[in-house]
Amino acid sequence: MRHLPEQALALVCAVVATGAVASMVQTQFNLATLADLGAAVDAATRTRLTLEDLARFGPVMTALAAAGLLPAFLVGHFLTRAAGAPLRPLLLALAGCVGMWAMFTLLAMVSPMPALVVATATLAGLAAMCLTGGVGGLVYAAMSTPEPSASARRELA
Amino acid sequence: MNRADKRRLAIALVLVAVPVILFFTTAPKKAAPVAQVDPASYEIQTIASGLDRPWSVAFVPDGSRLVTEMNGRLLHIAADGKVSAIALDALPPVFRHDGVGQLMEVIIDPAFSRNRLVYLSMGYGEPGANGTRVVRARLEQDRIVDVRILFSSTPKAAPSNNGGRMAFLPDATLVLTVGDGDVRKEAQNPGSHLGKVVRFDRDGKPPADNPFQGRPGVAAEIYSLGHRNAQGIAVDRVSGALLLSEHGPRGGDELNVVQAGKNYGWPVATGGIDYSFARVSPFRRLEGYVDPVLEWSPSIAPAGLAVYEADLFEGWRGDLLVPALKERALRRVMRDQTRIVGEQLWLAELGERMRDVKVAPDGSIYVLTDGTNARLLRLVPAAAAAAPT
Repeated sequence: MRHLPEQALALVCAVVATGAVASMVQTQFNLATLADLGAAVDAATRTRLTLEDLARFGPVMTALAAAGLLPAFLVGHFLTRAAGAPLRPLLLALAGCVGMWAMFTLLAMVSPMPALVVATATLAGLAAMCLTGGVGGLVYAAMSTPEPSASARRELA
Repeated sequence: MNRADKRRLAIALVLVAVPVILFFTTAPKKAAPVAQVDPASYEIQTIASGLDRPWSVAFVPDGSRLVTEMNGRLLHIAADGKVSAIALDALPPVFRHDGVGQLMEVIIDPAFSRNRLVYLSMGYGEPGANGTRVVRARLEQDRIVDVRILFSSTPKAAPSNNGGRMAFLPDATLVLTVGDGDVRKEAQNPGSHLGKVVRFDRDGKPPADNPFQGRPGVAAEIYSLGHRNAQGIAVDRVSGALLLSEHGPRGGDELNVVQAGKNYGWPVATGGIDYSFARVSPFRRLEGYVDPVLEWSPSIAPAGLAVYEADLFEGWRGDLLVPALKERALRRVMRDQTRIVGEQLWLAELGERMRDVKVAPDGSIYVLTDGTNARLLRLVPAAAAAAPT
């Protein structure tokens, strides 16, 4: 792989961004459940819990995001080579979403509890958490140089 | 590698380091150490060994003991230590998950000498729709007969968080803990048994003085609500208080004094920390929810509860005993009347997960260890070491 340092930085930024956004999304789903149960959640409480979760749950979510995004972006690379540069952000965002979905699905299979990340217990929560992989995909696409497509490589040769 | 590449790698390393540092600096702190009692001060006698996932022990007036194993065996352990299986052919099917059954508690009727009735809690149903059930049966020689289903909880999808501990209240009604089934909001759903303590009589009927009896949309058996997965319940015969221990997730295990109709907060008001390290709720205390009298964070996994109401262990009368799975010890919660004044760790030297604790009529303490090669232990003070009675 060419541009290795660039790709590595792009990958790390994508993973950290996804972990942070996913942590914030999980907190909002959690608070929505508590509000449904009658708890009064004011802005200060929401901000405090979001930041507390970001510090403590965020790193766990970042590790989970790494497990989801790394294989997803590898697949994404092959797809973008075939599809060409214009579709690259879209394909990598899609790959990020699918990678997160695969990771949450595997996690549910090996975890003794139904949902280790509680927001993923509902369909809406799972969808929202998977969409955070799209953020990672867009960050990765923006920060990394596209590999030349197969036809471009042939032309260069 | 050029300078720009080196800078990129340095930034990447910093970005990796920040979450790692954040995690370790904000991770839940270790609990204050609890005094471990000198093992020389008590004697451990092994009453039975080789038990397969035992869950509960009960004492029969003739000096024998009953032990449940999760995979569906009810064992009779005679006063002389001879172990025999009681035939459970008459029992309705017990729910199994991943090859492990969910036979849980056994307790005997307050008038057992006259009616020989036992009560068993167990899982029922199938994957995707299973719950906690209580049956009553008559113990006849080496089998149970006249089996009657007294209670079947609201079904749940997950196989976990079943509760399953039982106790008799002074009025001879039965209370049962039912877990939230890993759907935490169910603990606040008044129409569901999940995440509740339920109360019914010896025929399975909710008593007329149950706190929500006759209220539309509320399950008549509910006695208290807002529990996660309570697996310890005991009555303090002196104060009359109903005491309850419950599992939090990673933190927020609780000891509660249960009052009829009260809400104990899960998952709205709790100190619980999720398995993923997220906070369960920003609220530790909230008006309208009863606070625990004791909280254990990080979790010790309290799997039972007994009140010591004897004199064999001098000065223990009124103290609470809590077997802990994760902590791998028996906790003694010392009380002055009802006020908690300290805690001690017993049996920590064994390093085994503790599943159940009961106080025998002679004041000795019976502890079940957990797992597939578990033991039934009897504790007596070193000075009073004597043969099991």
